[in-house]
Amino acid sequence: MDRFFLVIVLIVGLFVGYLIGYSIPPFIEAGVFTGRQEKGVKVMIDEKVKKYYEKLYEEEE
Amino acid sequence: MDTGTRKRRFWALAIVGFFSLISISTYTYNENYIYLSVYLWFGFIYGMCLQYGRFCFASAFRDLFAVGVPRMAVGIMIAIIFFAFVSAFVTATGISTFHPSPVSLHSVIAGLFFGIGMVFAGGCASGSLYKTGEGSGTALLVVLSISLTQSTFVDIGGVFNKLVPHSWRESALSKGLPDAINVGDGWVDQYLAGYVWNQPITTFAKMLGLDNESFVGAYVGNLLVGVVLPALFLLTIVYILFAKKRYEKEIRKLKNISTLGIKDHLSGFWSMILSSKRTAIAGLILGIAAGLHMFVIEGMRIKFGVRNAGEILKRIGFDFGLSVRGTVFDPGYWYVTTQEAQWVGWVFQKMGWNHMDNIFFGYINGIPNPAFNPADWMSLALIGGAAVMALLNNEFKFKMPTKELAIWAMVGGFFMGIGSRLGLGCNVGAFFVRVANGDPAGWLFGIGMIVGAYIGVKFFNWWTERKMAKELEGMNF
Repeated sequence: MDRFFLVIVLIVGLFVGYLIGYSIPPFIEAGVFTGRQEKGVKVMIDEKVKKYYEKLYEEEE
Repeated sequence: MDTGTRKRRFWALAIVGFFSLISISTYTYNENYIYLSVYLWFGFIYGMCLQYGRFCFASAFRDLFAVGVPRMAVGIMIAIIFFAFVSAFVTATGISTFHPSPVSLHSVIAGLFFGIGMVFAGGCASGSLYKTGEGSGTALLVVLSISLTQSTFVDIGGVFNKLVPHSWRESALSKGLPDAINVGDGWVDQYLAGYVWNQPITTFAKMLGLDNESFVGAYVGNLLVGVVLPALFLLTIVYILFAKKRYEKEIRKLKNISTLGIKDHLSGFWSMILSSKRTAIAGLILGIAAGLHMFVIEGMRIKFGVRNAGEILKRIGFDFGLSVRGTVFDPGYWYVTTQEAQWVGWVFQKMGWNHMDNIFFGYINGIPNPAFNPADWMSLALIGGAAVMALLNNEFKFKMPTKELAIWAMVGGFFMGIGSRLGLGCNVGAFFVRVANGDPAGWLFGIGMIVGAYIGVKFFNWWTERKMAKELEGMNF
């Protein structure tokens, strides 16, 4: 295979590898890979952000 | 190494360098941008795969119906099976970001529009994107036409309101949508809230009474019953109608026999499968990438404590164009047409045409600045990835469309735009992804798309023959 193509694949692989690595700890913290009781993932939503959107909705109305 | 190769390699590296720079610099500026980079790099991979596999539904059906060559259509079916394997794994582990679509006849009608359009345009929604990356001006026109049609179609009301059945209007008004959404004015609004939202949502696993996120539900219900068996059925039909005769001829010649047994036909069937190796390999990588895309996006959502990229955009300081619920289009997997509608919607909004009072933009997807729209990052990177592969394979060339091709591109794009909004997606979002995830609505869209492509091919042949006859007449031939 063309060595230059492999360089491109390597660069893309590095970025994607980093993104995968970045996303694994949250799964571990949420207990997805270890003894999870229920399906799905509990998401911690920032209360400030939640209130912002509730207000945004009211403003639009 | 010759100058041409050196030049092509330089440009390929420059494209990769450009996306790398965007990724690194935005991440350094604000950590939240990594969410957008997920779309960027997976979009880049999709582009590379599409170009490598020549993954175009329009070409596949045109080859099949016009000249009887099943190679690419078979490749696409194999790709769906591979993608479905990965999707079943993602679903069974409970990290899928996929949501099934309402199931009804509307998907067939939408597919019909889309199928006709993609044959006229000479490329489907995903095919036109990767061909744009190859330097095709016609494909770029198709993308523009799809975008323009969609963003106009979702907001069009006035006289078109008279075409809305009374029951749709009543049902839409009873949904209690916010006042900011003018649901009583707009054909698509009343179609969505008054008809589509009332249709059942299911998967093959649920239809069999299985839990969608269980191992049995994902692998037996969605994968085996929902994908593998129907795909094998379709492949058998394709073999009987388009490949059997040729293999019979070859085997008869090779073995010097007159009657073929089941073993010979199985061998012929297998040869048909293997003939589409390149598209199938692309499909396998696409499947793995799409599965990983869902995985990474879900991880990011947990990490940042969000359910939608609208919250991410707000944090990085871009709250213009968020929907009334604070959301933007953030599918978490491969999608094509919605983001195309969004960027034209954003332009129209800036020009003073209110696009935020309809359901499609104002209530669901928003119209964020294209420069910060996650799905737009995916589409741009997809074009970039396709350009890199085209440059490396010496298949990149700027091609301006002729007047005739430009007209076909605009007309085809128009039909595809209408089909995409009626079916809530294109050949990728409404067919490829849905089928692979066990959503029956995907097959309904596919049936419509096949019939539409057949009608499109027949019409195109009739048109070409008529035109040639006229030209010959003019030459007194």
